Amino acid sequence: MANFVTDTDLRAASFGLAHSMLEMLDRDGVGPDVIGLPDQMDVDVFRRTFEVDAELYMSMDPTRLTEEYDEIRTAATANGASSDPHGIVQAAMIGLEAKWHGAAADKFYEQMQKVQQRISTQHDYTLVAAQAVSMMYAVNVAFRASCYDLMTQTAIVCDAIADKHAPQPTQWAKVVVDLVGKAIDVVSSPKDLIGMAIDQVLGGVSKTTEQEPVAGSDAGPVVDGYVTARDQLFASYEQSLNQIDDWIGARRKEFAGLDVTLPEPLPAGADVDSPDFRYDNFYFDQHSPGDFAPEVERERQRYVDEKAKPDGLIAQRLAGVR
Amino acid sequence: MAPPGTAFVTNVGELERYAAQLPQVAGALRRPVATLTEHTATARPMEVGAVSAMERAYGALTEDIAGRQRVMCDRIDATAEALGEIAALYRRVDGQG
Repeated sequence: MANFVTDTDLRAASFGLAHSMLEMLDRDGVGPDVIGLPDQMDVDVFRRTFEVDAELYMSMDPTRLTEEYDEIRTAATANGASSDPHGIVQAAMIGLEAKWHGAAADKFYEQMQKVQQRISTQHDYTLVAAQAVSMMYAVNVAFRASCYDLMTQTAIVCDAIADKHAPQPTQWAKVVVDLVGKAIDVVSSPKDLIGMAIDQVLGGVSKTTEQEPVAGSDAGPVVDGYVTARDQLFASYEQSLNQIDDWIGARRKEFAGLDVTLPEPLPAGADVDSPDFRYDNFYFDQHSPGDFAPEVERERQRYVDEKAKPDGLIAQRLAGVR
Repeated sequence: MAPPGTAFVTNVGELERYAAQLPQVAGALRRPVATLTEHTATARPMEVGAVSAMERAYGALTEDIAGRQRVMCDRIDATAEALGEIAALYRRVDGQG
């Protein structure tokens, strides 16, 4: 069973409200087309108006958002601190630092350090994306509930007026405008989302609604009151969506600012193919840099020459020729 | 000239291990890229401009994350290749290449 107001629920509420409002207007001798003669087309258009009101909140699918949230969290887990990639890089970093020295060895060590830090950054910002989805979910589910409440409570008032008795004071739960701010506050760190189901994010958002009376106790004012409330609700929905849009934009800028932490291409001194590579750039802990320098340079030159020859041993290996 | 008994053999093996493992790291880190770039569009009865704009922003954020992830993986592969070449060179110096 869904934990939110479904499309079917919303559509049923819109049909119910259209029916109750038509009954109420009929008792007042007012048809849906107050200018000309009401006909079936007018009734259909009238009903469709309420259906459209409901469909605005079907613009996002909470089920799909839940799937997206879970998929993105799984993607983040691949970059998690306890994942295999993190451990392998950590081991390489320790081994390089302990046993290999020189400018190129230092670059390899720094590269591993950057990779490790960047894995963490990627993890964090993948969870920021999950947080954005959780906010979309919180907003859409809250506004679906509010629209449903407005429609069903207004229908109760319409039914009472149609039955020619004074309606009981009736209220509907209106979403508070800073819902997005509350949804942001509930996640103190995106890392928390790894262990949080999407409904827990929504559940953590305190008091998202305030009670608002259904306006009017007579047909005309009830219709006007509904139209005003509906328009205000949709304006709040758009405002909340714009807030999420802005929040995502700000996180995107922050993320772009972290490009300096990306691993960089290695310098020529770390590339065996380059004449800048020398043994003292990358020498073993128990050697003196000078010990192997001549042999390494001689072999390096041979190695490069063999690679360059199309029929050389290394070129053949690279080409898959055995 | 290298002093006797100071060959590379043991420790070059360690470099070879890093060179072999790092592409596996890059491969594992490439796996989430598809999730970050593929978003399933669902049919919706009504388009809302603010929803479309927000979804575009979200798509741009996840694309940015995926793009940096690809760069990171490419650099890891290049690092592994460079380490592997150093290991191969030092094995040759030991006469084992």
